[in-house]
Amino acid sequence: MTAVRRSRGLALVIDDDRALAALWRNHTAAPSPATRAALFDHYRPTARHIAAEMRRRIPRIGLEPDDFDQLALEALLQSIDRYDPTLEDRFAAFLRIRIKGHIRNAAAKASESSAQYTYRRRQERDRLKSLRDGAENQGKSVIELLAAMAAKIAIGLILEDQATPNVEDLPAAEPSAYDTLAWRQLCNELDRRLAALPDREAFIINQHYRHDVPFQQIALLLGLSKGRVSQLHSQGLERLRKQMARVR
Amino acid sequence: MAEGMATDAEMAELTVRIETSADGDDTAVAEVLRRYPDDPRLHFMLGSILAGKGRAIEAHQAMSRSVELAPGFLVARYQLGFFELTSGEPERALSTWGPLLVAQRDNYLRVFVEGMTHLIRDEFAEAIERFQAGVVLNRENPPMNNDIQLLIAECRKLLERSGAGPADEDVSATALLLGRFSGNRTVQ
Repeated sequence: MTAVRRSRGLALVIDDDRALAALWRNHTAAPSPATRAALFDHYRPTARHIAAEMRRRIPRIGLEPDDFDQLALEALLQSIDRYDPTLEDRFAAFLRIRIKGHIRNAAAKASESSAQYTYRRRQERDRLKSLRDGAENQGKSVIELLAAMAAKIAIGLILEDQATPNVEDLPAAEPSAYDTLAWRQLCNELDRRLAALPDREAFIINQHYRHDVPFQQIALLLGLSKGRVSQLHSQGLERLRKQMARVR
Repeated sequence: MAEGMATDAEMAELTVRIETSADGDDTAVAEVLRRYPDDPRLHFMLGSILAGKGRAIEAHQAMSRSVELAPGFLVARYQLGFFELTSGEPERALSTWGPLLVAQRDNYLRVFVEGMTHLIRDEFAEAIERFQAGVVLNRENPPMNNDIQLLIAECRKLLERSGAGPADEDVSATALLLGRFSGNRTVQ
């Protein structure tokens, strides 16, 4: 599920174009959640870049800025399964056409429906639902349940905060509480624990918080139901919360 | 010449056509392949040309077909494994190379593969030793020796950069090996 770690020796001989072609070759020969996820990971920045271009160019009637990203990722997922790497020249060009079409269609629909949930609101609703459904409430007071849920939300916020920011979102270079040694140690500890989670839980938390990929897309990537992804998300955060509770 | 295989004259003519074309003529090979679809040499030739043109998926397909048709075609097997290694698929490469590891101990392809297995594990001193040994054994394919020499040079750089600690032993081993093979050195 996670990217193959290259040894230094292997890095000497790897040809990036061939490595990308190998991802397509494997996906075309036997599509699986793992091959789909590898391609999704590779092209996610391209999809986001195209979304950002579209965001600047077309009027935002009915669409929130985050909706562009969401729609681009949806189009990316669809494109991965519809692309024939031996017939088409370049996937990036193919993807650009599909994302543009997908965003334009969505913009047309959204402008007709003012009651539509924005992407961000849907994302927050999904997270809360996941944590609420996954709460272990046996023998716990309401306050204890709330404290546990708050801790998991906080872990999510820390992970989200560590995600690679867009250049335009970069903050000023003044030091803040987030630059303290204790904070950095906490982040490093969280990183370490996240990497040690079971594969699927780590993948879901990583994609969701670090790369802002919604549960719906992760479900498609892994070939699971959205409900199962939500369950694994909650399970993973609960595991992290218990482990982090021991950190002093 | 076995039935279904291109004749020596046809292979020679094809080789000339490829060598005189600007960037490798895959259509010429495809043309001969239509007449001899089960000739592993033609598939291998096609795979090599396509690899040079950056058509990696088709290149892999052609090379794989070649090895499928002739499991004992060791050069094709070695090149297919190397293609997979350069595609970031070390496990697949090792599996393709598996039969080469039971070839004779002095088969240069086997020795190069042994070097590659050390390279994947970042065991640079051992990789250099195996590569050097393979270069000495390889008399039939000089261009392959040139590629391996480049790899040896890169391994040496990594070995030097790895600094103190356990790598010290590697450096000593390398110094010894370089002395032993100094008569064949082409890389400074």
